[in-house]
Amino acid sequence: MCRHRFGVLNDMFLELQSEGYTEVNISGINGFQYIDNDYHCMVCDDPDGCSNCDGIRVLPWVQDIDDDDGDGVWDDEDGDGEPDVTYGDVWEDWEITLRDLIFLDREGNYITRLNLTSFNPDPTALGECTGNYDTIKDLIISLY
Amino acid sequence: MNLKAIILLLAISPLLGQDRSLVFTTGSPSGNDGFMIQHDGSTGQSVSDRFYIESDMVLEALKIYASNISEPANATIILQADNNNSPGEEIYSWQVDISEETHGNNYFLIITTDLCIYLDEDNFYWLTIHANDSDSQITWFYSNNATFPYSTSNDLGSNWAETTTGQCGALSIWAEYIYEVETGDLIGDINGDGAVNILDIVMLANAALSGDNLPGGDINGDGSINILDIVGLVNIILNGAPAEQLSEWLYEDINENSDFFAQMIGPEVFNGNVSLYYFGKAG
Repeated sequence: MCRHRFGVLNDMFLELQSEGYTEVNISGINGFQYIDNDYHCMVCDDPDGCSNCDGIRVLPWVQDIDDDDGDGVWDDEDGDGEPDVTYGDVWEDWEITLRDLIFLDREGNYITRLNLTSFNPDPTALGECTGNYDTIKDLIISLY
Repeated sequence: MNLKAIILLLAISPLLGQDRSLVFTTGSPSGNDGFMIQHDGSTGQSVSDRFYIESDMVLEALKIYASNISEPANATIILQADNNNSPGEEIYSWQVDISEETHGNNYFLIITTDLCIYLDEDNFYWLTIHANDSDSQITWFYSNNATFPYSTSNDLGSNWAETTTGQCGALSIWAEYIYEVETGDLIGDINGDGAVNILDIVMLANAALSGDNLPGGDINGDGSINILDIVGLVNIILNGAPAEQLSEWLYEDINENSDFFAQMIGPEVFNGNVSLYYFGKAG
């Protein structure tokens, strides 16, 4: 069965942790255009309730917010008269395409991006033939 | 549809549901007309479809729209490399009794996920059907549109007719892309040897003196190659290339099973660690 990309990344994170690579973080960011979608099947906090869940996912999951004026400066999007605690519009600022995976090194420098729409990282599907799972994992380890 | 067919379809439906891995399709056929695939021992007809692969991939599945005329209808399905616009070297082949595989449908499936059949980027490939014996006859249904290249053979592929464009045998192909990680060109690697050193300075200095256009030589991006670029290259060698920083953001983690639940997270929080960010769609 085809597994969810975020689920594969969750498994990779746990595998890295178990191998001693504890200084790695993988986070998911929901697009602003999907803000009304139910996120519970993305984090699988109730695996039995979602067909694409094969276990609880421990990766952080956050919601992107739109910077309406598009000026690249975070203002007061919640309109409370104070600068917002949250800020971002990262999908727009980072020129994101759905299912992009962005790599930053320990200094926060941009390394590369992969788009997981076409590239299936699931080693239980074709991953063992494509080597895609190991390619991602090896890249993380090379940055470690 | 019998039980075996239902089980097969259920098993592969997640695979074939992924349109993102559909790399070639003629669509389903519009009718029951098609190529007669047969061979009586001396002459007959085999047909081969040509398709293009744009990136390195691994083959997942073939869906061939065909049916048996005879029973059995033994056929050889062959994946072939291109040889000057004709079917060439065999990559893999399958022996199929089409009367057994179609289960009353107008197609049959070949699943290849465990075979690790690699397809190379920017190449043509061919998918061929031969009849295996004089008793076997098969119809390979025509594609709906007459826009696909194909070839035919009367001698089981020893010789192929000139490739034409028209209604080919209807076919769909699924494959998975293989990652090619690109971390960007090395800034200052003028001679392209994978390192930034004095040899690059010499090459850049020669270009600055001669006025030659040198790819990658405009280090400071001002549109010309001059002493300022040489100074910039020296700085890269001494201090390293400037790193690309993305804009900051800070959001609350809403996954209650995460160690960061209810905390504000973003790239700055994860400084000191290798960090990855997946941009998904909830729901």
